[in-house]
Amino acid sequence: MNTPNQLDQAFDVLRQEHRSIQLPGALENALLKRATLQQAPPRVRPFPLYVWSLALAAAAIAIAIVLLYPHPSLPAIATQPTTLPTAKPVQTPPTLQANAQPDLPRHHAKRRPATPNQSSPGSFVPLPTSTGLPEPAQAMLIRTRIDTSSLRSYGLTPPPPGAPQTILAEFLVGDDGLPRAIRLIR
Amino acid sequence: MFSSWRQHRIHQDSDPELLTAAQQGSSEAIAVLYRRHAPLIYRYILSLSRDNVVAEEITQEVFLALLRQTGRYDAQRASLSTWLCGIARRQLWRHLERNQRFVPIDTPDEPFDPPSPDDDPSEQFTRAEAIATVREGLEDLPLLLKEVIVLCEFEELTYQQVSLILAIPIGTVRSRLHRARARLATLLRPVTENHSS
Repeated sequence: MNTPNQLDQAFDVLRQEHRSIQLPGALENALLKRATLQQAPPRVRPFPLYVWSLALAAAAIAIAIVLLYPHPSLPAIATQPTTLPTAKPVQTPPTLQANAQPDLPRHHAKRRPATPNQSSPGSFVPLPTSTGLPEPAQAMLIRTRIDTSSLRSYGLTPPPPGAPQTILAEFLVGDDGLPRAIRLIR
Repeated sequence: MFSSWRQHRIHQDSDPELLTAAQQGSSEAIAVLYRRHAPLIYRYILSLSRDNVVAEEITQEVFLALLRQTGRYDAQRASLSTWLCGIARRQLWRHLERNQRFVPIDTPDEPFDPPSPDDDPSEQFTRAEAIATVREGLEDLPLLLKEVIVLCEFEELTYQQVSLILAIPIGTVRSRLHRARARLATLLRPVTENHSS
């Protein structure tokens, strides 16, 4: 018997032996289980009850805060010099006179005494440049710090010597952008 | 009655039909595909790894990969069994690389060899010796040669199929098979010579 024949005969036997290998029976079930899991859409796990309770409690607290907390009023007028003066719309008084107070919104009137550092403002003085200007429907209140040397140009008496170089003032500016009146704050 | 008819029918479905059904969640189709192709995968991996656990794990992984990537199978290019064998082979190689070792060579059990009535006792002895020698030689073969023997000789796949599984040209399949057979034939020579003398 030659070698190739023997090799082929050996292969015949080994082939039968190889083909007789059986798949483990449990493998199919395991595969089907894994395949089912793999193909199943991802299950959305419901949140546990305590998570819902916490969420509800947090929502209730948030609602209570929103309802009970006082609504924020308009931003306070700056008491320090700023690069951009704070502007606030106010109703123009029916007749702008020397002693007339601008008709500020109600909350402004209430807020003013609440700021202890703020000195009581004087009365508005019509600016010389406002003479002949039409009465504005709306006006802006602009608070800014001005040089005391320029008070004369606004028709005001300049301060005595030794007074501070600057002073806080409020301008009443019409909706046409032209100033109508001034008052000194400090 | 309808379900038994359907069960009978599904066994006759082609692989692409079964794949479509499997993709739509038919566990019957998965089972039929598995019974049709898993034995080849399992035998192939077991022959190379000599490890039942590895063979089982890779067989499962191959089918799960099939269900995940059904769209990647091209029925025009290769049969499903060939494609699955290719996946199995890559997974085995990855496993071997991960473990940074080749599978230890076990001594397999003696195979059942039915006696041939026309063989004389001396020839039977030589034949049994030859089978044992080839079996041992097969275990000592490098995996690249061993897998060609398993696929070409034991699974009787065509060169074309084997070249697709191993991702090598048909010429390389032929040369590897030739080298593997030559090595085993060399081992058989002393057995033949002893018998002749």
